[in-house]
Amino acid sequence: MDKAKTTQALKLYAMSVLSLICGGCIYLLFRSETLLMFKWAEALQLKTSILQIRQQLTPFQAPEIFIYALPDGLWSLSYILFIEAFWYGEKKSWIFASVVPAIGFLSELFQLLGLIQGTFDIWDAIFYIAPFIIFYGVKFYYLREKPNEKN
Amino acid sequence: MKKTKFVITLATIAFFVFLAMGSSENENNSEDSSKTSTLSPNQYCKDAQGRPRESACRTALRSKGYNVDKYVKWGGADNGENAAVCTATDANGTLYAFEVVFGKSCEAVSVKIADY
Repeated sequence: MDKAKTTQALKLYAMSVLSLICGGCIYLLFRSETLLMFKWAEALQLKTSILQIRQQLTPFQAPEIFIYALPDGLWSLSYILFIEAFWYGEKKSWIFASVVPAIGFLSELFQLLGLIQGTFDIWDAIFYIAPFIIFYGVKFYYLREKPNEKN
Repeated sequence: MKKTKFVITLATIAFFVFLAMGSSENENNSEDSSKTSTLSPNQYCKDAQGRPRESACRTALRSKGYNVDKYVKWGGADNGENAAVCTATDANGTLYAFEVVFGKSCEAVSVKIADY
């Protein structure tokens, strides 16, 4: 991999980590303390600090989609970016990148059909799959426009 | 080389699925479930001041089909033996109150929307 490609891949890794951190912060600051993630925060000695920040944010009423669906989208996006960086230059990277968004989307679909426990939410389903469609829609459009830069 | 990358990809998938588990409810705590056998709902589902625990309110409302993920800022008050008023707000800040009678595992024997 040449230097330019390595730089691009590193940017994608960084965006992947950032996306994951943003999603995690929404969970820890706005969602219920009964989530397993709080057990992990407790193990990392972070729970007290998180609870203090939650207190500060009490007057702030975030929209429902921001609290419940956006973290799913960020989780999905983080995975896509990581895979895209890891398989940088591979034409078939989209196949690997589709796995986690598909798992998320199918889990919502199965909840709708009553096959697994949970509450179906159309926004969750959309946010799971949207990053994949947008990312590869833009990528393939861009590659079609500039075929010489194809990997 | 490709095989190694494939294995790392599988590990990444497993890692992200593991992260998704972190966003699920922590209700299968074996320590908590062992307590249900010795404590009454009054002790198990409420704190020392008689206020209902958030997890108890969520369990009770969920057992009656409420979508508890839509509520935040849980609170409540004592409402008698095995009973409590659970309060919560939705994302718009609207306050809801539910009169709950708890069963042994904090499932709801009955839930009534409080009309004050």
